[in-house]
Formats: sequence, C-alpha cells, structure tokens
Amino acid sequence: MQIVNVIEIDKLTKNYGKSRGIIDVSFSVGKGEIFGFIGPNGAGKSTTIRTLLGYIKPDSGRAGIFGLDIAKDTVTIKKRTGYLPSEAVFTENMKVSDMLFYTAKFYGANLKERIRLLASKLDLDLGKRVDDLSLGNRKKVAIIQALMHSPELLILDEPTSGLDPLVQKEFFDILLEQRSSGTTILFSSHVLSEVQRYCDRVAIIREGRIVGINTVEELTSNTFKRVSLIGENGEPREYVHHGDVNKLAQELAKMKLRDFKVEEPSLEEIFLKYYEKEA
Amino acid sequence: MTVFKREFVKNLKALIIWTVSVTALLALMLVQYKSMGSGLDSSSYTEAFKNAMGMNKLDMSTFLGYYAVKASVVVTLFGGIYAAILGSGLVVKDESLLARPISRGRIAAERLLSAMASILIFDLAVLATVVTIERDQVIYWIAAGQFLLHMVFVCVGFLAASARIRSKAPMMIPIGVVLATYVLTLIYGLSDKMEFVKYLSPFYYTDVKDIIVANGISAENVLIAGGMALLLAAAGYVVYTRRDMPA
Repeated sequence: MQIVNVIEIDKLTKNYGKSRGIIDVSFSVGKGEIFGFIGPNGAGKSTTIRTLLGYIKPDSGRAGIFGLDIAKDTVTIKKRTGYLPSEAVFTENMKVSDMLFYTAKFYGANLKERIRLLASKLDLDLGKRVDDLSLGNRKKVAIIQALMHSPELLILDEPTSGLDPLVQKEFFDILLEQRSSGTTILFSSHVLSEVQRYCDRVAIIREGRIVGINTVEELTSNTFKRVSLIGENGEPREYVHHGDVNKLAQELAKMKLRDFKVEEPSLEEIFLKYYEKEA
Repeated sequence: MTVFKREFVKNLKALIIWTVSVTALLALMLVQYKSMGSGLDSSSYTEAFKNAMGMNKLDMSTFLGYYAVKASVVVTLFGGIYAAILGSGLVVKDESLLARPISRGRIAAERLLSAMASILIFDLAVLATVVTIERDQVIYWIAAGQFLLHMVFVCVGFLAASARIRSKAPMMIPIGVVLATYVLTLIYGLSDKMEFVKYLSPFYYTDVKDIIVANGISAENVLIAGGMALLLAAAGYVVYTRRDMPA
C-alpha cells in the first residue's frame, strides 16, 4: 500500500483564549516534499508543530503522521521523526558528546559515527559543555539531535535562526541530501528567501488560520505581478496584482499612462499581500 | 532504563551531599548522647510542651527516647526537605527529551523510580548510622517509616512541579508542605480540640515515638502513608502525561 501523504492535518484547533492558538488548520505534506510553513511571530506555526508532536493536545480536529494518529501513536511517530524546536533549550549541563550519545540511546542504534560526521559538517565542538555554547552552537546540537537517526520525516521549527550564513548553507545541503534519500521535510520560517529557495510548497498562516497553500512556483510566477505605473499627471503608483493576468491587461488598457512596468514580485511582497488586512 | 539512569546520575551529587550532611549531624548528636546523656531534664518543661514534642510518651533518658524526640527530627525534617526538592526536580521543561521516542508516562515512571532509589539510599545510610551506634530491632521499623514519609514528600514535589511546570522555583511549595505538615503534628499535641489536624500530616502516620512505643509500625499507618504517596504520584502522573507542554 502506498502512503501518499506523510502528514495529514484536518481542522486542527487549539484555543488559548485571546488571540493565540490555531483555528481549523488543515494541510497535508506529501512524501519526499519540502514543505514551508510561513507566517509572522505568534501566527501559530509553533503551536501547529507542537500539536503534531504531542507537546500540546488539540481542542478539536485530527492529524496523522505516516497514517498514524498523533494522539495515540506518539512513540512510533517520534521514532521515525526528527524534530528541531525553535529554541534549543537544554535542562542539563553535559558535555556535547555525552548529550548526543545520550539522545542516541533512545533510538537504540549505534549512531556515534553519524553524530561525528554531522558535527564536523556543522563545525561543532563535541568536547565543550552545553552551557558554554553560544546560541548558534546550541542550535547545532539540536539539529544533530533531530538528524542523527536519519528520520523519514523532519519537522523543523525556525531551523536557521541563530545560524550564521555559512552554517545555514551547510545545513540546507544536509537537508537536500536527506530529501534525495526520500526524507519528507516540514519547516517553518519567516525568512522568505530560504522558503523560496528550498520549498516545493508553502502554507501561509495568519492569526491562527491558514490563508493560503501554494507551490512556490505558483506564488512566484503565475498569479502575482508587481505593477508600477506613472499616470497621466506624472503621479507614480505601485501595487501587487493577484489573479488573472488578462484582467490586469484589461485594467491597464483602460488607463491613460505615461509609463508602466510589470515584474515578478519577491515572495516577500506576495507574503505581505497575503497579510494585508481587508480594509 | 535510560531515563532512570540519567536522572539518578543527575541527582547523585545532591544525594551524596544530603546523605553525608544528615548522617554526620545525626552521628554527632547520637555519639554526644552516648557520652554525656541527653541533657534533657523533662521536669523543666511544661506539660503542654512535653505533649507537643511527644515527651510524655517516652523516657527521655533512654537512647531511643532521645532519638525519637530530638535526633530523629534531623532525619525526618531535613530528609523531608531533601525529598521535596528531589521530587520537584523530576519534572522540568525538557523539550529535547519529549522529542524522543519515549512516552511521557514512561519518563515520569522512570524518574519516580530513580527518586525512590535515591531516597532508599539516603534512608539506608541513616539506618546504618543509627544501628552502628545502638542496636535495636525497632530502629529498622523507624527507618521504614522514614522512607515512607520521604516518599510522600517526593510525590508532593512531583505533583507540584507537574502542575506548575513554568515555575522557576518549583520546590518552594513542596518545602512549604513539609514544614507545614510538621508544624501540624506539633499543634495536635498542644490541644485536644486540634486533634483532627494530625490526620492531615504524613508525619503522624510515621511518627518515630509511636513506632518505638508500639515496637513496630502498624499496617494501617503503612497503608495510609503509602496510600498518600501513591495517590500523589498518580495525580502527578495524570497531570504530567495529559497537560500541554509550554514552549
């Protein structure tokens, strides 16, 4: 039997009172896909991810990973999943190598070689103590914890925050390598360039609701155009058009213009367009 | 048993410090008694005070009387505080561990067992100290009672930390409970009207003086103190396994 979707989320809702939380979040991630999950701080990215991993219990809705129920089969799911929390918090001050070897024990395999390989790729000193590490280096420890057992699914919450550009590059190289061996990846971000560059599809979340799910191609090519106009009176105007390009052509044809320019907008602009509140 | 071992190693330093301090203090008091007597002249105390301290039940001039009324407080009270701190430390916001393929129930169970092992070692060290100085069958019973008492406080700490997982100083309430329930056992001795309060305190069910008088610990008291520990542990387990884990 073929499992098409690795992650299947159906109307997941978690109410924290006030504005936090998520409402009716639904999306699915296919096998081998790199799926981006974008939105500003506090939009519900982490809440969704933490619900998927059983840290938080949903109020309503369902979700499955590998066709297993997230509420019942957490242990099996976690065995096959690597999770990188947005903040790498360690409650114990151990030597980095001890910490990682301790983590490896839960997967019941000898992962020492793999840990050393990942550490050298990410340029992490295994001999230091966790408390003596900088934020970025602590993140590397967490990355190795997520990757060490070569999981079928990687769930990464803001993976690049705190990493310098060189390490980011190395990190994404590792991810692409994983993907080519069949790993599915879900990662949240508010850095659009990395989403644009590495993801196949993205879901955009705003104030706890999914407002759009598109392929990156769709977002960047077909439906969005940045339009710059100089009207008859010389007054410049710029906006992002969303929708049928023929409509845009018709609109433009009706206007009297000195000049105009239609360009591909950056994902950043598309993102902002999504976030524009209806006036 | 990965979590059990890790937890035990993590708490080993504290175990050594508490065990060495408490047994040293206890040994000092007991050896001093052996060489100089208790120095407690019961006639100089008021009846109310003697009732509160339980001095009416025992002859203070005997080793056991002195141990019950004075020296054992070091073990019950300091041990209780140690147990409360240990229990509160069993639940922390460990993001990293929760991402591993292990259920929360398993984490809680292994950690509780590890705390139990620490407490057992602590109380065995106390027992060894006392029997080295004075041999008496009842001292084993006293140690059993102290172990039960300490396990109750481990579970108080465990429940409190589970319920207040964001707390920066999770041991504060459990330590308060240890002191408050100890004070309750003093109050009930002061007045007949306050008799009911004693039933709230685990100190009452494992009282060293009562164990000496009865030359053993009653099955009823073992069940009640053990039941307290089990109930608290179960409540902590339910809270810990079901609650949302804050980021």
